Amino acid sequence: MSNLKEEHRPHGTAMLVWFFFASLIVYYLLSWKFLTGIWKVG
Amino acid sequence: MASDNFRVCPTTGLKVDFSAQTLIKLNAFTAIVFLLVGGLLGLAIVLTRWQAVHLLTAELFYRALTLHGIAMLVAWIVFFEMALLYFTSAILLNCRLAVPWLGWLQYILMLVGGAIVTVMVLTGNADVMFTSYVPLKAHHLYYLGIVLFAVGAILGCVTFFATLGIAKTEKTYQGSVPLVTYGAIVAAIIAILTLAHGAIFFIPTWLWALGVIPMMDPETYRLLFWGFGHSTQQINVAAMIACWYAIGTLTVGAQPASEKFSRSAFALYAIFICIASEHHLLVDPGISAAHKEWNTGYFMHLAVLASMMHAFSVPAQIEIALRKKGYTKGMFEWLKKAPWGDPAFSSMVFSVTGFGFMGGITGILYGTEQLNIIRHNTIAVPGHFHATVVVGTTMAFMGITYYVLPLIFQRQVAFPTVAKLQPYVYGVGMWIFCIAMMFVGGFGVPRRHWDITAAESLFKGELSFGPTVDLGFAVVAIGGVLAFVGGAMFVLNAVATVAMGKKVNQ
Repeated sequence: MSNLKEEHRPHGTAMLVWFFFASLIVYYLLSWKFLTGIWKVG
Repeated sequence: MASDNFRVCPTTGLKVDFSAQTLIKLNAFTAIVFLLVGGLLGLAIVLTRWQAVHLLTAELFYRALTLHGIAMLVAWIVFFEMALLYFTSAILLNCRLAVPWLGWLQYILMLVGGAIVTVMVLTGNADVMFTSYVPLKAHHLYYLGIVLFAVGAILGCVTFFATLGIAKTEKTYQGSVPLVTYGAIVAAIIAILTLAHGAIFFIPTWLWALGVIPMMDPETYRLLFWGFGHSTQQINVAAMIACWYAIGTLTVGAQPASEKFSRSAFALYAIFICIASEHHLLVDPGISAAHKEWNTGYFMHLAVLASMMHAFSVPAQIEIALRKKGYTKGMFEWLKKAPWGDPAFSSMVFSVTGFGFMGGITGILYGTEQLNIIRHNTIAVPGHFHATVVVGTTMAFMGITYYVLPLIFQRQVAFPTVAKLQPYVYGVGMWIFCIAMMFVGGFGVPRRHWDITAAESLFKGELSFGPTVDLGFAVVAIGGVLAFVGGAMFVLNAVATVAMGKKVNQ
């Protein structure tokens, strides 16, 4: 992939990767909050 | 052009061995028949869990649920995988199929085994659900049917590896095997490990049902069952991802962004994915906390890492291919100009996004020990695995079928407009279905339950999950019915194509 021209590099997919991790983190936090109520314990 | 043993495909230029072609056709067609059976049962199940309709009686509900699991999770998928193994070995490597009679034996054993299991369940001799946890006991022929099915699948893997040997000896390909075949090799390795687990506990369980063995230990059974039950789904994952790469190549001419990267991810599956199956046992008292932590805190995430690697390298290779075609404007012109009307492409996009965002994220969460204790055995769990196995695997297999029909069955798709729409109807239906199930599961609604109002139980207290859950189940049902319509569109189109589709030019 390193020999790809700049305009052929998968920038859109890179955005998708960030979106995936953001979704994961948000959903993880929401799950902890609503499922376990862990924030109330502290 | 054709000789006695093979023809040359006019589209791909590949040699198509006639024995392999026949076995691919038989396995793929049988898979689709089981998809139809499982789909009909799925519709009956979802219309029962929707309390406003509550279609089936309790007895029929559990019978339907048992056969739905077997028809979909085992029969449809493993038959289709056998077709994929023959396709990725004999066809993609341009060689003859090794020991065709062994391939026939695979098909006959799986068909007979599948038929025995189906009859046993339908006649009420095996209302034990897909997991058949002991001490629930089915008729001994039920277990025999599963053993025959598993032995057949092992023979399919043996034929596959023998064909790879022939291809290497006869030098029918240059360099290393294509990435799609590499993925199929990983699927076959996992399949052998999985089926070995199946043999280790299904044979004693069969003997127990015959009265030869006095008892089965439930905890050992569960441990070994999930070595089989979940690993079966990992065969699907490896085969599904091989399909993603194949569809990327067939639809937009994509080449792997990095062969080493993708092959490393497949290798991670082969090493870690079977061990990770133990997340099913997170609430079991017979297994230590440290053991659970190792499997779900470490090994499982190494398998998840592999899925994430693929889920990003597949879109990347498609983006690169489309950008090379000139769609370089802005960040997403390539996505706008992608072949959305090609049912294989749209199926693959639903598969990648559904598997990654919906099935993958929830899988990581529910496989976390602290969260699992809350989600375990709620309807959120089927919500998660319908996202992985149905939106993920089934949609990938549906997508590749739109290419198998012209390339192997040599028929043009009978209703192209229906084919174009089908992935959207099925995909949207399944997204609604899965999300609604996981939402309802968040309220603690149990899975595999005939009547959550407990109206006919001895307990006469007030038992209600409230109107939010009722509304949630209505959404589950709307999604389920929509998905059933999409599934029926696929099955009828495939059957019509095989029966009366226009012949592709030789």
